Amino acid sequence: MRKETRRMLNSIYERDDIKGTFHEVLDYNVVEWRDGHVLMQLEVKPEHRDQEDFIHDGILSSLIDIAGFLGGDWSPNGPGRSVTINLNISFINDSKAETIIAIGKRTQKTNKMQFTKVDILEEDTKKLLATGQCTYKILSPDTKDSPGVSRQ
Amino acid sequence: MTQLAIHAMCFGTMTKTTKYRDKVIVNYNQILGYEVLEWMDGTSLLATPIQKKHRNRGRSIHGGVIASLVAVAGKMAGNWTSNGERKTKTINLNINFISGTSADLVHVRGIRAHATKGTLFSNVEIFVPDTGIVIASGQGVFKLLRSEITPTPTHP
Repeated sequence: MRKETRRMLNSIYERDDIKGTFHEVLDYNVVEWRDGHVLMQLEVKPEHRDQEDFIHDGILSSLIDIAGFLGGDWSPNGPGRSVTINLNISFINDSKAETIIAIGKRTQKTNKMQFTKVDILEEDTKKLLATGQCTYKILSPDTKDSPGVSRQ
Repeated sequence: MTQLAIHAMCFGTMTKTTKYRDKVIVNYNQILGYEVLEWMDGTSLLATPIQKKHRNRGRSIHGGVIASLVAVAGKMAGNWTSNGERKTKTINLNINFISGTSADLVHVRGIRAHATKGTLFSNVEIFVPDTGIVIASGQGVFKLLRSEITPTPTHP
């Protein structure tokens, strides 16, 4: 991967406004990101697992939510603003893997809406763990407030 | 059932050590930090205080946290048995995100829609308890695994 892309990705995902949020709990890496495609990698930590050491359903759902958004919406200034409308996730296999990857691909994009498909695989064996279809509403870039969220 | 017994059942053993690090670790249920208010055959009610680690860049609750809560509450709506928790695996989740919120506390209500011998269907709703505004609703399909309940030893 080109150095510029790497520098851009790092600057986006090590910003101050994601400190302490759910993005930091997940602690994922964006490996590739271009228009209509994203490849993300997650090193599974103990706090991502359930009592039996399987990867928790919620972690797979969260990764699908983020990969679905990034997979459809690329801009040179970093990720824009969006709201998830619908997630439909099928859990195909369960796994105790150390590293998983998420591949997001855009299905369709209009001015206000975006549709994506996401697959989650084990990195070593390429075993399919979950698939998801996601729908997002895209907010205009100058939006400051999220819908339904009051100002501080 | 007392609150303490419910807690012990939901979180399992609260602490354990790993081979990697010699320190106490948490699992994902403790990251979510929910509290079980009600757990009966066919219904469940969870209360979740929303902390900063559950929010996204816009200070709303992250979609992944909502999806996780739907999975947990949907499962708990159908896994109650008189002997404890029945093991389940998630097959499918479908979640509609209705509104964002900056509330500090949300309630999650799971209701069993139907259950066969090996499959559970449940409906879940996430709402703000003060105002009653619904944040998200979801449907979950779960596989009910064969319960491996060891009979309590009887003393002669």
